[in-house]
Amino acid sequence: KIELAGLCPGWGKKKNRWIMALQEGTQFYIRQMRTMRAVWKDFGVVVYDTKNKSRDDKSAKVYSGAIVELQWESSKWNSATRKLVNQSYVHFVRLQEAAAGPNGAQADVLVKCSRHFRAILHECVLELKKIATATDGDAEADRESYVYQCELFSMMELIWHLCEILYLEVLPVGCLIQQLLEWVRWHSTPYEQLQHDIISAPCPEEHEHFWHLVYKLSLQGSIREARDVLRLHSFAHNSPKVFESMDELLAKMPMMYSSGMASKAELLRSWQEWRGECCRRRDRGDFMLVPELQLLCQVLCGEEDALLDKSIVESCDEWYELMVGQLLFTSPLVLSTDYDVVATAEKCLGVFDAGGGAVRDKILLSALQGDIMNLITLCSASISNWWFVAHLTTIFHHSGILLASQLEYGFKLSEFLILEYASSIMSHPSLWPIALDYLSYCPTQGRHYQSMYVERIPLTSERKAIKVLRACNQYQLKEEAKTVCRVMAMRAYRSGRLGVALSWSLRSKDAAFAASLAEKYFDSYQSLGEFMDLDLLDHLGSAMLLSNKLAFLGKYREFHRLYGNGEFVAAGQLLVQLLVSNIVPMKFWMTILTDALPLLELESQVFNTEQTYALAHFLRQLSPIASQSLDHAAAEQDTSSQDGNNNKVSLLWLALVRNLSRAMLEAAPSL
Amino acid sequence: MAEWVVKYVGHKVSKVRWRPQLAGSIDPSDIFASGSWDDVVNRVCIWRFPATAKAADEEGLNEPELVCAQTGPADIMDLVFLNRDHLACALSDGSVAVFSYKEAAGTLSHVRDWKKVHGQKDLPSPCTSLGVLAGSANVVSGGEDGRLNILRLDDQRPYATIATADSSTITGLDCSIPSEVLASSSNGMLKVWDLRKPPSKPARILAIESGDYTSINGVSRHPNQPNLVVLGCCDGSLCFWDLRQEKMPASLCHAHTLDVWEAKFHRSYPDQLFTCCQDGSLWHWDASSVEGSGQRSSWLSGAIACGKVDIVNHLPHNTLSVNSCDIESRHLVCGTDGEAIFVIMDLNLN
Repeated sequence: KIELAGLCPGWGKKKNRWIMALQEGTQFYIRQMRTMRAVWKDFGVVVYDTKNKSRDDKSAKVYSGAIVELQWESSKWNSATRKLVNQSYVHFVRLQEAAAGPNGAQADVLVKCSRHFRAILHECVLELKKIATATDGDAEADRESYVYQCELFSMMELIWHLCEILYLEVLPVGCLIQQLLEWVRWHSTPYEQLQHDIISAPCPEEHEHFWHLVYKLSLQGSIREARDVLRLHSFAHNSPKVFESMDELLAKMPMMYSSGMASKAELLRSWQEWRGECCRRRDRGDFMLVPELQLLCQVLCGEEDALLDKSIVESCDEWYELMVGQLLFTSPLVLSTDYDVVATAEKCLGVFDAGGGAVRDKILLSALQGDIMNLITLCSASISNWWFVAHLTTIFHHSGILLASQLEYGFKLSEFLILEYASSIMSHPSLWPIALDYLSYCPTQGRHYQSMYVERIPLTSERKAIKVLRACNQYQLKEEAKTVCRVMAMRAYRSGRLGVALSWSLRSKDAAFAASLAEKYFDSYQSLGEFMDLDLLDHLGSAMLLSNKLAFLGKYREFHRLYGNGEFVAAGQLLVQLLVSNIVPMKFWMTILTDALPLLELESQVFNTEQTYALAHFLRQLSPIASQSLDHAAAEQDTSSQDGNNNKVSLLWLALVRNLSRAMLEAAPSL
Repeated sequence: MAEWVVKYVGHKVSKVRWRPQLAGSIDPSDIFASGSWDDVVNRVCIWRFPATAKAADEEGLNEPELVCAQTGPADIMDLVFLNRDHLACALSDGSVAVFSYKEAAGTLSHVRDWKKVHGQKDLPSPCTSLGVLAGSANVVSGGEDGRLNILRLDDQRPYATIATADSSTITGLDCSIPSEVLASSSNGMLKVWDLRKPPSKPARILAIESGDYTSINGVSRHPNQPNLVVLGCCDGSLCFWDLRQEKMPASLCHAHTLDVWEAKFHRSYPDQLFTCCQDGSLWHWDASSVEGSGQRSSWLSGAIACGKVDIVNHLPHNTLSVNSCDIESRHLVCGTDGEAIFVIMDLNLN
């Protein structure tokens, strides 16, 4: 599977060519598209090779060959990552709401939020593991990509957890070490299997990893588990004194829980007492019989050489396990700002010699050093998705530890990262509501991005168009809202669905388009002799007031209804009202007057004198035009219609005069 | 506040429907179907809630358990159960597809397709709503082309078509009364079609003329009083109409702030009404404490205006649109644009 990693237009002499970076598995290729052309489509690119044009006709746009559609980062989307995006969106919004409150985001809110994010991240890791194991053997590349994602997200969880401990948690004295131990325990490889193996072995202490397990548990502060394993040693029964002594030491180790009661001095005192006892027993030679126990005792005393002993180092999978273990036994009341932490970290890193400094280690070190900018820079550069840095920085930003660091473009770091994140989720066709909402939290550039993005969301159905419209309204994107309605209206118009087109222009109160649609209805009436979409016209209601032409259309239809119902007087009144109110375009006057003809000819009187005068007034205005066109009609071939017109005009005059006389007689007071 | 469970499903949910209960059984249905939309690959999924004991053990949570799914490229615009074993889907490529659910095997298989029954030949338009004709397994489909089709399971082509049923999109259908079809449209009109007569014109047209442009998103009939319908509108208002009175709706209340996508009465407790909205809210309207004035249902009286109806929002913190909701007995299930399915459990119904 080939993925498009990047695309950019050429420059200089090769301005018309495109340069593509493709990724196949772990290989990257850069291709210059000499004969290839690319076209943007939605959020991807369509690529085709022009060299397959037919030879005969170089100018023809005939094309025979493959058309390839490329999309950004399509492999990163699976059900686990989509869950991640959706769940974290919910918490992101809550965080922003809390931060926008009167007092800003309080520390406990931030910690809770951070824990939610971490929990979501952990769920994502578990889900990815499940998907990876469920992928069948054929899709090996898929499985690899899931495994890779799984590792990446685990690393993100590790870093996030450390940052939460160091920067967000508000810890009383002595609790940092507990949190760090918790951190190590949570992220280290599970030892249950090893423990089970050791327990079920006939001679536990002969197991090659027995002592490794004991050291590991001690360094992780899982003292009770360490004691349990020690008790499995056969010597524990044979020469109990040695093991009892160690067991007692371990049992008495003061755990720095956040009791809240003990002050720093008290905690320090109790710890120093305990350590004193350890040193006494070590010097007394209590553990000479069992060298491993002696080493363990030295570790408990916090001896540097012991802590860097080969077997201790081997029992740790990661350098930070060793580091936290060292801190536990040398300075348990350490604060995150103490230099001890960094010094120990660097020492342990050196011991593990993690091959030239893996990026993850650099990131963890930056976190321990308190260098947040470096941390964020490294994360952005090495983690291939923007989710991590965007959300982490947002939390940092609201906690205030992130000083306003102005980039060259002048907007805050967290906004920049949210923009990048939102841009990255744009690559999926489904996630546009979430992308738009993230953009709304970027005060400087967000709106610009929103307006450009929303115009490119494909409107595949009416329901989707309505949702896009609501989003435009929500973010005050008035022009874009109008554009959406216009696009839908034009689309409907082109497929001949005037009713739908009209409904879209009513939705957006687009008077101009509604007017032109009304004219189209009229034209169709004149050619077909009857109205289309009667149901719509009959029930326009007050929506017709949007445009004069629309109002005219509605009223004219009402006239037809009244006429059809036999309500001739009302119909006649309406007709005159229409003309008098000036909403009838001139070209329809003839039609209206022609409609008046049968009413004038009716036995019972419909029009009174005023109305007749009004009709006459309009007819007179028409007639000079009619006579004018007579002069020009000499060259006209279509003289028959002119004659017809003339006939109509004279008929109308006749009818009007007759009606006038009738009306005058009726109105005259009886003598 | 009732307890609820959420499951993030990885696709935007357009419709959820409970499978019909066994006739005469009091056990609530434990299977529901969901459809997705606006994705590269869309799916129809069958879920079980409450999950089987085995699944609940594995996951440790009481989430809906996925039983089976079918995929396809087109959006699922509407979903109905024809009977306990057959499920019909309205698709955005103008087709209607029928699937058969086999409970024993736990599979969903494709049975019948009516391709491109909506739109023109080269330009299909989405089929937006489906209804099941009462007393049969025939499907009525309405689409963006304003056409109504009557489809029979054993026939490849539509049995009957009303090509110019509406000048705009048909948004909702209700066929609970035999040989009568109610179709709501996006032009604010509700048309009543009588299938016994040759259907060239609707038997009746009712229109909301409230001033501003309104579009009706869905229609639902009261289970005990077939002349009472509730309409959900695009401006958030809810319209109660007594079909015997054509001129005006009985009441029009401005309830939500954005489009009401679905409004439906509880089948067994019609004093309970459920509405779901674009702004992410899911409201449960309880009119049981209103005394119906004689013949008139509590919904038609001015109870809502007087504030006598209790309203509870079951998803107060949700911001993304709730597209669909359904309730069979005590559990209310809904699907949102936040790619989540919520099940609100053990509602208090009188």
